[in-house]
Amino acid sequence: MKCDEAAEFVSALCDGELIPRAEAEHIGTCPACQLLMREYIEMGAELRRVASLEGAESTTPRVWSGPESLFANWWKRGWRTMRIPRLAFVTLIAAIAVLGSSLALVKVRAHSEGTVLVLKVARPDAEPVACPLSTRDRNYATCGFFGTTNGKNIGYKIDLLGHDGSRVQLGVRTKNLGARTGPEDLADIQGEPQQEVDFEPGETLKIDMPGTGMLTVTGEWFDHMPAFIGTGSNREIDPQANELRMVMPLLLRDGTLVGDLEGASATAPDLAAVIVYIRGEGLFILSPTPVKGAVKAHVNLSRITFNEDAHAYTFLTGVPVTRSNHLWVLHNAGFKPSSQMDSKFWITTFDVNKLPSEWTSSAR
Amino acid sequence: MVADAFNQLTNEQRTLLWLREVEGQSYTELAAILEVPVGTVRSRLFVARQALRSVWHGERITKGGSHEVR
Repeated sequence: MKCDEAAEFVSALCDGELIPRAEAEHIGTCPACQLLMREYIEMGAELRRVASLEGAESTTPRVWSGPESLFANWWKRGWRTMRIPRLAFVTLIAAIAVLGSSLALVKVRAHSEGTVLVLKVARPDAEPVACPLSTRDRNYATCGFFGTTNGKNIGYKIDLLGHDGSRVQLGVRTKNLGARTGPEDLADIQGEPQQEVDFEPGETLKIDMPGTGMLTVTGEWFDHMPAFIGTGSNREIDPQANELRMVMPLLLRDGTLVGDLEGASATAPDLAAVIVYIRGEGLFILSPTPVKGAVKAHVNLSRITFNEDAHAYTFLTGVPVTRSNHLWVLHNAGFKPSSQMDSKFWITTFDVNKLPSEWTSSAR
Repeated sequence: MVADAFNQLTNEQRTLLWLREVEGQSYTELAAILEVPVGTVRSRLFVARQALRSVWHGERITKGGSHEVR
């Protein structure tokens, strides 16, 4: 079978329609048809995104706040009609939701190959963390990480310095932060000495972090910025037990878009909390367990809703948030970050039993 | 923007894509709305997607790879 003959059914498959076996078998093994399907899905997601944001920014907040919002309606239709296996539908919706909530990332999609190097950086005792570096977009030429490894708080920052064909030159900085915890800033690491290393996908790079072990780096080229750059369990559709995931969240207040984390994500394991700061909106502590002063929020797959001070808030995320149907949200509208931390937004995870007092003290 | 590409489609293509992609109408519902067979819905949706893809790709190539993303 030729791709041209199957193309119409690629479109139908995007819509969850049943298609003939021969076409299905071809599409299932044809990279070109799968790419076409991905493009169709992406176009649809962007249409929904535009439609949704226009609705959110207009004076018709019911588009978002009502029970028949576009996304909710779409979900319900999918579940109800069930033309494709439920898991497949969930997978499709999750993919679309991710794409739909990551317009900024999708915009850097390139039409030639090899413009985005996605590194996988593994600490000695942890799953690899994805680090996407674009050769074309300076906004995505740096990545970093803060966390604990071998009982020590560490951070690293990787810059894409240049590339020659598929070979790249990376600038790597690492820092042992000692007992410091909490959200950090890549500027903290900027003063550390930079190691310049050459790397090519296919190789395995070892980077020494003095006193904490080795970082193991692998990578591969993508022809676009992946819509979803999570790692480990982030890639799964179903959240893991006791996991709380905020993937590329949008925040709506009374149906109006007030926050877009532009692709930033965080996954909190083991009943930890996710902390979201949005300039102008304050700090949101989302916890799977009760927190003093927090309001109970309802979770419906990729949507978190809660009410506070006569306002209706909704977080929309790229994938289902948690296995639970509720969580607790502590909103500190008066939170003032330090000047160093006063970026447009940030997101991190934190032990809910060790929340800094400045995060919770002036919360309503 | 996909919206710009979308606006270059025919009225019928825009309507069909909107009903399907944004409002989530099923093929059966679309067939009833448009008073055409389901197979026609499938083929028209395909043509509309191809048209949108063609226009959108053209726009993206023209704009190159240095999009402002923030």
